[in-house]
Amino acid sequence: MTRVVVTGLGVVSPYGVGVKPFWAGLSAGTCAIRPVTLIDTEGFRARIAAEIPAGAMTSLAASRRRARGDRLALAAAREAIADAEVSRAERAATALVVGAVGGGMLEAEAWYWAQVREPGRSSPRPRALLSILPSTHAETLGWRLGLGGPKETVVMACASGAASLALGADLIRAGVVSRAVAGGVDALTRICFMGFNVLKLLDPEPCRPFDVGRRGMSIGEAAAFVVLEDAAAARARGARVHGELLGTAVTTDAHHVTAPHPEGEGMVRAMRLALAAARREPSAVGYVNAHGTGTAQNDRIEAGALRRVFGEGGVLISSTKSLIGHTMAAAGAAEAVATLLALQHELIPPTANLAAVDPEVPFDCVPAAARPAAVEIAMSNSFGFGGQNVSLVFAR
Amino acid sequence: MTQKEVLDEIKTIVVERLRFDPRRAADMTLDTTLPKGVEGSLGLDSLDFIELSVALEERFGVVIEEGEDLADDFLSMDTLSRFILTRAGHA
Amino acid sequence: MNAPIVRALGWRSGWGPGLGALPEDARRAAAGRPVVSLGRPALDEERFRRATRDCLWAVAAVGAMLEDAGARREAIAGARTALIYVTAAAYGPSNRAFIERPGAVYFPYTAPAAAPAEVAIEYGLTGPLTIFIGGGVSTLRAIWHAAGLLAGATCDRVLVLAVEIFDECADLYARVRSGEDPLVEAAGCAWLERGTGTLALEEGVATAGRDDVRRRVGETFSCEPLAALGLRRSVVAGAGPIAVSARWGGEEVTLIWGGPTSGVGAGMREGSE
Repeated sequence: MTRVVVTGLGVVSPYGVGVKPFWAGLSAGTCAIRPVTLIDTEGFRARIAAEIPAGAMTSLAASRRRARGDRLALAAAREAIADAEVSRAERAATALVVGAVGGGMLEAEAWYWAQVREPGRSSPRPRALLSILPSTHAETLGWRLGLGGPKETVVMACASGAASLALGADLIRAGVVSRAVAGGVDALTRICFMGFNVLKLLDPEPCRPFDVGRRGMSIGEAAAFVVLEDAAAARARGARVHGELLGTAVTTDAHHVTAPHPEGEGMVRAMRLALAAARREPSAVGYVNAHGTGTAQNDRIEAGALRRVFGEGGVLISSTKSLIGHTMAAAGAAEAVATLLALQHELIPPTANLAAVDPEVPFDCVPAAARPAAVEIAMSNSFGFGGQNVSLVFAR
Repeated sequence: MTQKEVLDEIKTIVVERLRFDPRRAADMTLDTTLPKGVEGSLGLDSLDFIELSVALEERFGVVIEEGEDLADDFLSMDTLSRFILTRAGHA
Repeated sequence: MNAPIVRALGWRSGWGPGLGALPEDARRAAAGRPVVSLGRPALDEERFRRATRDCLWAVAAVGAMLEDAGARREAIAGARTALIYVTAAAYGPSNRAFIERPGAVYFPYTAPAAAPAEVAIEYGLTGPLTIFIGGGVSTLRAIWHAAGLLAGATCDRVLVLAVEIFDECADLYARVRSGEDPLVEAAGCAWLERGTGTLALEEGVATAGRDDVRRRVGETFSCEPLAALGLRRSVVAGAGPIAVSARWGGEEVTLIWGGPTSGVGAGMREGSE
């Protein structure tokens, strides 16, 4: 069985550009959710989000004419490739898997609204519409970074980023490639904000996953990529290894277009299948980076599923979304990086804004401050609308 | 505002916002139950109830907090229309 | 890689049900129409009252595939069936509709994941799901990925489902497209099972056959490779390698079925549509 290791990490997050500020922010427990500046939120129930700071955007190398999502993805993927020290020749045989949802929607929306309001003034052949497809990211990254292997765009709602890592690992295990750049990206979009607003799923205050008084999620934006590699190939070229992706699993609820299965059936199966693929018992896992959105329903059902797999209090859990919001298609990838960093630094990033843990969440959710813990095996969970469940198991 | 008037407005919402067949809405009475899983009900799920509550807020100017447990009020056309009348200060 | 057999294939397009309805020349048949629409399928109105057309046609294409297989829906239900959904643009209309008329019941349908979710709910599919965004290249990669899932025994069967819907965004396509082929709405689903032949995925476009398929079908983005598979079902196993090519986003890919006991059509009923 081919072993898959992680040899490169790259992140652009609401903390700024790079893995360093990402880990500094997470480990300090700094909540990056602030008033929204990118879109008009007049009349929305929440007017806050975790945006990439303007200064960080300015520092990005990619042209400002590119879609915001492309710029974020380019910077994060470039950092991951540089971190893994993948040569130009090696890149030519490297696959690319991008988890994305919004694509160039932020720009396309702006064009569309201008067109609706002032039809005469917008361009007849809008560039913005051409980059609306989320698959544009993969085309841009493939071309700019010289990635010559298969290029795929995986759009699995809020589980996209995690699904892209699972698919990248599949490509390596199937022998298609020995190396894959995999991750996720999403820039803030108005449509996303409108959608979660109308579903009454946005907390007017920064989100409070697992808190008894939680009122919903906060939206964020980010890009996160990793370099996945056949362990033998990584060893042969003397690459530094951040950790191992021991096992992955994807399941479907077949229950409802938005609501998770009430007993978390699909979540439980995903976690158990990922552990089986990793050949590990639940008791071997010391930390779970939860999906932890902060909505009433997700957190309760996820906690129930975790209890079924790990037993009450059987594992430390925390929510990255409490710190940088729900970064949509980037979330699963950013949380995978957070999980790897937690293993590496022997420090579990906290769940922010957690005052009183919901009695239905019988776990130590690492409130307020990061917790030193020498965990060997950790899991990262991502669940999406439509009942898609992805679990990733990592080892130090 | 009478209960009959509220009932008619809800029927309109059921067609225009929840996309039910107008004939199905026309057959609804005060006895019609709403939630999916209840025998003989209209079969509304969580997504429908969110849309319904937004539409009721818009139409009747009532405020429905997301934290409220309104399962009993949203059980049937009778309970729902009474709830609206109470919230809108007509009862 | 072991080549999967195509046990059945369901196809619906703006030209009518089945591949038998395809014209010889799509441009001529379109007679200047920029979009050849599928309309709405006849499905239980109340169950699907919120669903957008991409979801409805996704469900209908799986139904057409079951019909082609002569199988009942129980045959695909459960965790041993993987679903791979591919589309380039089927969720465009739902996004536009939501932007213009935001409503809680519409938002979930702006996600491409809504269509495979409705399929999973309708047919009880609880196995692995993957969703690729892209054109024909992604569909060929989906088949390749399916072969990997089958080879690794992750599942017993894989449904590769592709849907494209254009009508509601026809004016936007008119602004950005310069191609002469009509946009033809389509939905196809292939039922793949483990075979014993060989499957190869190569860079580049290998076959002249692709242009023939395009000429007949029109522009269907991700659906085209499934039409190509279906049209070659008369090519029986052992007749030599079968190649299906696609171009998308600057990539060119060809999938080659080879080997004596595999091949497209090996698992299909003769002459069925």
